[in-house]
Order: sequence, then C-alpha cells, then structure tokens
Amino acid sequence: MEPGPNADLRVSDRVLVERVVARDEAALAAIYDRYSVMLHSMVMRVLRDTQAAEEILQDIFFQLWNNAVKFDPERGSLPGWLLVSARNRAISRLRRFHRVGMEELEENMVVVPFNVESTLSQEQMVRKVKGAIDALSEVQKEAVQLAYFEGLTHTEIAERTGEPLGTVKTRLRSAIESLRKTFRP
Amino acid sequence: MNGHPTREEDFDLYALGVMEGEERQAVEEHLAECADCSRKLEEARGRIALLAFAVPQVAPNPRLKERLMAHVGGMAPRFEPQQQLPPAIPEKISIFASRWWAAILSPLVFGLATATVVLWVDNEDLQKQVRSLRASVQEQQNELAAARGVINAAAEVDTLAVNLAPPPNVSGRGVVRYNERHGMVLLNALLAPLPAEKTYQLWLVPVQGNPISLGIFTPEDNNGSAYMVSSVPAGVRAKAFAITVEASGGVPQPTGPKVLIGPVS
Repeated sequence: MEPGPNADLRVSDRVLVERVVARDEAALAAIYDRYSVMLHSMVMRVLRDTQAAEEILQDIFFQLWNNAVKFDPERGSLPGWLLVSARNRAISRLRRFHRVGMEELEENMVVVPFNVESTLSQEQMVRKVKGAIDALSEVQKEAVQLAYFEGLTHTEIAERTGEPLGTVKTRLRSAIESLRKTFRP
Repeated sequence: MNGHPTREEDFDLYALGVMEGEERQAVEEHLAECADCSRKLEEARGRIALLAFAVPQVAPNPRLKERLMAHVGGMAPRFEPQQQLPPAIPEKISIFASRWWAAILSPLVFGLATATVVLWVDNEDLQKQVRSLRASVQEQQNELAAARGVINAAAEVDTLAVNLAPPPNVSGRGVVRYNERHGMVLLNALLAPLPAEKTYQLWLVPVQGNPISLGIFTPEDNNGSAYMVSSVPAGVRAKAFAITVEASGGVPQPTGPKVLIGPVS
C-alpha cells in the first residue's frame, strides 16, 4: 500500500485548510494528495464501481473547496471528517438513501485518535487495522464488514446472515470492544 | 434512555450505524442534551472511520485530480495585480520643486512599477511550473502505488487466475485475477473499441444471487487493452466473471451481449 504522496509534510492539515479557505488551489491539491488513496479505497470497497467512486471523491473535494470555512481543525480531524463524509455518501448511494451532505457534518465533528497525515502513518494504520480485523473471529469480521461497508443495521445483518438478532448484537458489541482496545491512542 | 449510555461501546455502535428504532432514538435524544457524550461520540466516529484502512489501498485514476483541479480552477477568483498609481505630490510643495521632483521620480516610479509587474509575472509562472511538476510527480507516484497494490495482490498464493473467453464469432480475451480473501479483482483484457454511447461492464456472477457490477471501463488505447481494479463485497463467492456491452454509464443488472466470460474453477 502506498497512499498518495504528501506534497509537503511540513504543512499541517490545519494550515492547508486555512489556505483552502483563502482559495489556494495548491492547498486543495495537497489535501487530495494526502487523502485521496484512503478515500478512494474505502468508497471503491463500498460501491465496487470505479465511476461512482470517482464521482463521490470529486464531490467530496469540491464540497471541501466550497465549505472549508465551516470546518474547525481545532475541534476535529480532517481525514476523519473526509472519511465519514465519503462513507455516508457511498452508503447513501449504495442503499438509495437520501443524500447526506456536508451540512450535517458541520455539526458532526470527528476526532481520530491517530495522526494519519503522512504516507508512513497511513501505512502503519493499514497494518494496525488489518491486524485488528484479522484478530476478530470470522463471524465478527463479517458483521463488522456488513455494518461498515454496506451500512446494514443490527436487524439487516441478522436477516442477511440468518442469525438471531441477539446473537448479531452480542457479536458486534464484542467486536467493537476488541477494536476499541486496538484504537486506543 | 434518560441517562448516559451505560456502556462505552454504545457510542461506537451508534457511529457504526447499526443501532435502530427506539435504541437509536434514545441515544440521539440524550446526545442532544449532553456535551460529554457528544464528545465521546466524536471520538467514536474517529475510531469507526479508521475501519476504512481495512481494505487494500488503491489509488484513484490520476485523471480524477486533473478534472477536480480544472473544475476548481474554473471557479476560483483570480488574483489580479493592482494598477500602479503615481505617488501623490504634497500640496504645499512649490510648483518649481514639484516639477523638478516629478521629472526625476516619474521614470523611477515607472521603472519600479514595471519591474514589480515583471517580477510578479515571473513568480506566477514559476509557481505554475512548480505546481505542474508536483502534480506530475504525484501522478507517477499514484500510478506506482496502484501498480504495487496490484502486484502484491496478484502475488498472493490464494489469488486465482480466471481466463475469460469470448463466445463464437466474437473476438477478445481477458484474465481476471481474483482474491476472495482480499476481496480484490484485477482485470486485464483485450477488447474491440466501442462507440461513445457504449461501455464495457465487468460482472461477478456469485454462487447465489444476481450478478454484481464490478465497474465499467473502456479500452485505453487503439490496441484495445483494458485494465481495471475492483473490490468484491464481503461474504460473496464468485462462480464466474463476465463482461457485457452496456449503455454508457453502466446498468444495475446485465442487459447487453456477453463478450467475455470465464468460470471460477
């Protein structure tokens, strides 16, 4: 895995966002370089459609260009904000939900417990998350993937897997307990 | 739920989106009035967001960035250099003195203004060149990242090579490299060019259920070579792969003629 190169690691996300607010195209390009691989990989996994994934990526960065002033880097993480926004849009498209836009995200801040601004930190995060997922049982892994990548609820996962609702809830809760330990900063 | 969620995992389960009905409503009502729990939810959103790193990292097509920046560039207000104004002459200075100083200063001011404009234009050109070079390097590195991802997946021992063959009287050939564990599909194919209103669409035919679209594509050169990386949903087992010709933009389920098909042995 090699995420997009970071145009200039000496420049923090906070500074890049400030420059985007000032309509600096190079700053938007730097943010794209930093996070497009991560976003594209996740959206592709949800939608399995190159064209749809590219549309969502373009939409996300275009919305960032127009709404960066509403993002508060002191309160939340830019990659977290982008990931939540991209996942919401991908799941909405997959399931034909109403479109979830940046308007909702303005109030929904995301605090990521790790810095993933650099290529190296993203590579480390891939290893960390894959290790955490591999440590789950197969049924836990399936439940987490159905929830995260397909946007299914407890009941829908139970219907999809043919398992009792209570079993699915217990399975997901224990999986989350395990993941929380891994994601402890 | 009138009080705080009783278990810390509730925040993560809410962020994951699995809660529903009264359970979800109770959490939402509490979050609306509890700043501490809202902060915990922000942290849970961050943890859940990291699950995105569980999939193989695949770079987007470099053309996407070009399109985005072109779109953004078309909308950004352009910086224009301000017109250089001659300096104001103090009212109290004598007419003789003002003419004298004006004769000396005017060429100097004009020279400085000209030099400023020339330097500004040079600086803009240099910045454009730097941006262009950076974009070029980034494109190459993205392509390298994508290639590395493909090589890594293709090298796995459990990656299957599925040969795609055309029906009688149709030309073309292809290979799908399929790794069920990673949920990754790599397509290499040689196909005839299509008219603009048509596209090729790759399908996974699962052991159970309807075909699943893995994306649309068109040959990238005059030789008809096509290449695509796609993902397979968790829990889906492939019985076969097929390529059909569909209307531009693709379709939810295959309707057009099959041009290549191959069973997973």
